[in-house]
Amino acid sequence: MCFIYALLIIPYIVGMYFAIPAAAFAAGVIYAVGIPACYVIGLFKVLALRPDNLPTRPTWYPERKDGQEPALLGYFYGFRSPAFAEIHHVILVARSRAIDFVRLGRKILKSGFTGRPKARIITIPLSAGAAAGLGVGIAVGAIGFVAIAAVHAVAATLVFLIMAAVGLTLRLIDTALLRIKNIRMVCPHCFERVPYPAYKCKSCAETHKDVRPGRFGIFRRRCLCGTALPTLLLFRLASSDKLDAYCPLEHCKQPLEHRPGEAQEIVLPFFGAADAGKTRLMYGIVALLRATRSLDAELADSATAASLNNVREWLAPGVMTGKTLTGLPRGQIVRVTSKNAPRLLQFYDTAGERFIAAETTEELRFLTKARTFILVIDPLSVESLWQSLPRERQAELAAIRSKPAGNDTVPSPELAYQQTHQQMEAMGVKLKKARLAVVFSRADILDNVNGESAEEWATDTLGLGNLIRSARLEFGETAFFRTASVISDSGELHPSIAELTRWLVAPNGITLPETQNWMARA
Amino acid sequence: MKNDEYYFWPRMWILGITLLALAFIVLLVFGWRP
Repeated sequence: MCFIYALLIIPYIVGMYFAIPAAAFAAGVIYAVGIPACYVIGLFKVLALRPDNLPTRPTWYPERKDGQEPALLGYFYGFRSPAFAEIHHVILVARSRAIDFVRLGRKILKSGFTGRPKARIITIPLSAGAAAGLGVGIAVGAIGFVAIAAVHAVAATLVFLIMAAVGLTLRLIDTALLRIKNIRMVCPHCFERVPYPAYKCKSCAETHKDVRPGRFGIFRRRCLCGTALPTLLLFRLASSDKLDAYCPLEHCKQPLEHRPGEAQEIVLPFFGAADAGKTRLMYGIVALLRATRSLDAELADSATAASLNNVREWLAPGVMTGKTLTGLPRGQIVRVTSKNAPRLLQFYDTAGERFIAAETTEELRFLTKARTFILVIDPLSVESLWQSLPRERQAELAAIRSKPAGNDTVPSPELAYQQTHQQMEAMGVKLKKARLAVVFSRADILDNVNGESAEEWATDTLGLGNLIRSARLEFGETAFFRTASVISDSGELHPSIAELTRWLVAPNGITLPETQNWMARA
Repeated sequence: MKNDEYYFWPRMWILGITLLALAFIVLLVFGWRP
């Protein structure tokens, strides 16, 4: 009997000699490949298949919080972005699957030790060998698992870094283009510099405070309502039909209908004493720009259109311009397109009463945004000129002479000039880099100047030598004009307006023709 | 607007890049040289 057992044990030992390593090798290979495969399966489940029974995502998965931009988070932007949260999610899903896989192996091995007693002589050694292989396989597989997770993380990091670099580059290009085009946006409501407009989605009226490339998208962002929105002025943001621009400043938030960011903005403030003719002069300039055939001048927002659409009617002979309200003015914006790029002219017509006291002048912060200023002086308000007029002429002109409401004193042009220019200096305006147009209104009723220049006439006849000298001394460039902002009975705009306007807009690339029949266009 | 819909293509991108990188590494491990 012993001999038979001895005969049988030899093939058993030989068989086990090969079977045990084979079992170990098989178990090792299965787990060394299977555990990394769990990560790949997890990748497909989380990133592609997204079954309904997908385990819950990590608690730190980024969500848009109340008060944040009303846009979906970009997938890749930042180490706390959905891309990185989903690496963690894949790891959770894959780890769970790998643990199940290891448990299955353990269960099979356990059955080898506890299965049918008669078969144990074979299953126990095989299970023992497989257990050793399993251990090694799990160790190798775990390394593979971590390696694939690392490849996933490196890929996400590279994409994020590329996106961040592209986003930063685009922002720099956008900013550089604004600088090159000399575009500085100014809010016509609060007079502050607008670093970048906020935008309201036209579909859902949600406000995007900062649309520029960042964690909500690089080339475009997705509004919560689903609308895809451009992220930069570079991408024709200003003319997008999906958004309306708003002032981003918390204290303002007013609409910027004039599509800021696509054209250079030129701030043109009028200043001078009350009733000097500032409003009428603005009407004249706007009427001229709209009548110039080589220019395309459009009123750039609804408020401007409401107040300046019928300027020609206001300029008709005998029509008196209404008194300007003493509240803070709102910029009147005209988009002027010539053969060069479009320009946005922002006219600020302020009531003369605001230029008497420092407190009311310092509220006019648009003065700090301007490079060209227009001082308007009513020659009739100059006492020496008024006294030189015959009594009958005084009686004729008394109705149109400057006179502030509730005050019998004629407003002094010198007071308005001194007060304003001192305030401008106090506000930090570099007057030496600024241009000043000194405009004497009512040239139509005071036409006889005997060939004198406006400057000579102002010095000799009006006695404004001090003002003239001060203007020449303080400002970088000064020019003097005598204008009449009127349309004649034949419908022609007084030529003095063209001369003034040409000087005002010439440095900004807007060229007015030397001669034109200004009646040609309404 | 579902995030899943918005993130579909970014997920495909990262899946594709990861699988390509893995395939490249596996080929390198098995002796392939570009």
